[in-house]
Amino acid sequence: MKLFLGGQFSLYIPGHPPSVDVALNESARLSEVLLGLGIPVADIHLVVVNGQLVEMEEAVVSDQDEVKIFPPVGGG
Amino acid sequence: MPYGSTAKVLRVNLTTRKIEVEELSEAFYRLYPGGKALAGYFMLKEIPPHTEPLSPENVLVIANGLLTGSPVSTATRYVVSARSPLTGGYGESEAGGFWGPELKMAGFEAIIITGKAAEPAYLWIQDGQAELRSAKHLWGRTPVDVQNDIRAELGDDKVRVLQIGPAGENLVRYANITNDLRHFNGRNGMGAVMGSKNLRAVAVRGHSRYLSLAHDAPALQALGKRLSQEAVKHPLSWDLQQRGTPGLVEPLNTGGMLPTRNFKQGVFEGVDGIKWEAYEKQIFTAKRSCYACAVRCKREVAVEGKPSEYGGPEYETVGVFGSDCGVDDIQAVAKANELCNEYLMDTISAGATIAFAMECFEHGLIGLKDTDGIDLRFGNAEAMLSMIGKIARREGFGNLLAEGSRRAAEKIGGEAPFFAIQVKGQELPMHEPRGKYNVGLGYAISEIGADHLLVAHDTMLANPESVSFKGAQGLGLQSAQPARVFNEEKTSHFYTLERWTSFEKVSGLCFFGPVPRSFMQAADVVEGVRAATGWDVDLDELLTMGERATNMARVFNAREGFSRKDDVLPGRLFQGLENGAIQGQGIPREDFEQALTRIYQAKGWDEQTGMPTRERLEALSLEWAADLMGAG
Repeated sequence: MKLFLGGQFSLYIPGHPPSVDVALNESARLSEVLLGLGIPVADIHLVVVNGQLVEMEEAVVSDQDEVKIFPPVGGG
Repeated sequence: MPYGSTAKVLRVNLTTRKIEVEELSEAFYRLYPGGKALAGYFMLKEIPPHTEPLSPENVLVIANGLLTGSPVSTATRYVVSARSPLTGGYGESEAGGFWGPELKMAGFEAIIITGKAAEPAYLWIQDGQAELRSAKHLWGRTPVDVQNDIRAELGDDKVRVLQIGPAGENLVRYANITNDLRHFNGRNGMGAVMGSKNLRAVAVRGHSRYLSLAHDAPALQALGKRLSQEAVKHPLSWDLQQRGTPGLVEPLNTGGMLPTRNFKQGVFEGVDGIKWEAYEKQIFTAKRSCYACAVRCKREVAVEGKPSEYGGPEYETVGVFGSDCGVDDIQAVAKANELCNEYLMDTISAGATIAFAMECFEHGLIGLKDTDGIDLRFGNAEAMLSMIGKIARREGFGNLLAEGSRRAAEKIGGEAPFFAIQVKGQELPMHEPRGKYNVGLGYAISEIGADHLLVAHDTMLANPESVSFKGAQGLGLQSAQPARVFNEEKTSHFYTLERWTSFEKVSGLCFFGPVPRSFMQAADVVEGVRAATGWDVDLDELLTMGERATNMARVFNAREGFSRKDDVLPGRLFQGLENGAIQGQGIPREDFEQALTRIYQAKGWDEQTGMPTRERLEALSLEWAADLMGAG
């Protein structure tokens, strides 16, 4: 799975890359994958899987998926 | 003398050229401790009702915040206030940078500027002394040239220069003010007020240190050090450091909340051309910061392959000259930003007024004969860029757009007022209230017209476990709430958050410092004020300082005839967006009206008029303001 890290989420991955490849042997709940990476799921506002906006609670991902996560933003 | 303050205000009468210094007492300063509060006090006391904004009788107040210049990250800001030529109401705009701290080090908390200079002038302030000097040779010239010439003339390249540009000289109603060429008092047309006074610049140099004024300098220094460390590792400020505000483009577009084509849509199909990755690849050159700030959210850019003297576009500018004008080219956006900053006018109002004109053009309300032959369609970057100069010079069709979208719409007629996306005459910033209802309530109720920095945004307070909501709990917020809802708890959010943001404007802290938007906890802010002043303050007193400042602004507007009828939203926001995640969803009008009534009740304002009651003004130690308003 290719995971694009919007907002502050690169902070939680060593080296702070803009995206990270996550190997998945079988489909999994996205929230569990993210928790495994140390990313605080409560700070995620938007989840995009293969170009479609989905709810975090419903997101199930597999190895070929492209996923983007974004925090809520304001001000500026 | 109060700790943390020079307790000195500089009074400059440009007509008589008289310059005086006034001392503030500690009792006074504790009620009006800087920034918005100090400016609001002098505006109410010294600007007679119905003063023409661009007349010599208007009073321009420049005031530092309580903590401005202290060694605390984001404590950099000062406010510029006057009756606004854009809204006709209480006018105010803040900026960061280095100028505010320099004013403090030169010995002053604020400058009160009255009258009008017989010839173009600039004010030179150094270490407690001030003089007016001729600016005849500077009038009409670019900000870069003016800054260089002033520094050369004064023989010191560390002089900090606050100035207006050609747009301010030409009285464009949304002309702005810059310091160091890259920090802007953007909104409400304060640059036009300065221009009407023939005042081109205020140059400042000071050699004292904030810590020499502080009650407990070691404690303040230790707090500053801890907060700097926190700023570089806290997730919310870390993100601001990585991408700056241009990082907002993609998340807002993804959520269907990127204002597109004059707020018709929430998703821009050309977003890839303006989002951070395009910015970073095509124009970004370096990060930059304000005075002593570890957040470092400012960007430097190259425009047309050359380093720009005016800093990079912020999110608002990318949104307004990008998606809101339908332009998918970050280089065109960067050029628009540079042009606005060279003429010195607000990028939000300039871009939004052009987007308004584009919609009028596409609907046939205006044609090529009106626009001096410019094909003013959404997406035409060249047309957008050529309009900027015409506005700043008040040339041809630009002369109409220099009046702002509300006045231009009245002149154009027909459906045009519907296309003017403004509140109280000020164009909306690039935040979509159909996706965050309290932001919409803030646009409506704000004394300065639509303002995106009135309350923290709803989406950041929707998840009880999020870092942003946890920060807000330190302010007393009880429960997380959905972004697209009006209810009693959201009213409570609004009341607390507005008092807090108003205190930020009193204290000189940036929106990107304290919770819930960023890293600085409420308790840290209390600790900072205590160390600076020696006052035994608690959070509630700070919130009351913020509320007092808001109420003075409200009283100012009451005297000008503002009331509940002016706390409105553009009609388009009650209709659905044409695309994206919240397509078809407008703000429910009845819910909005009920929310307005509830927030008036929470603030102790009259439900019918929307104005402060005498009782509430007295509770805020503002009896004198109630007398001015005649509030019964």
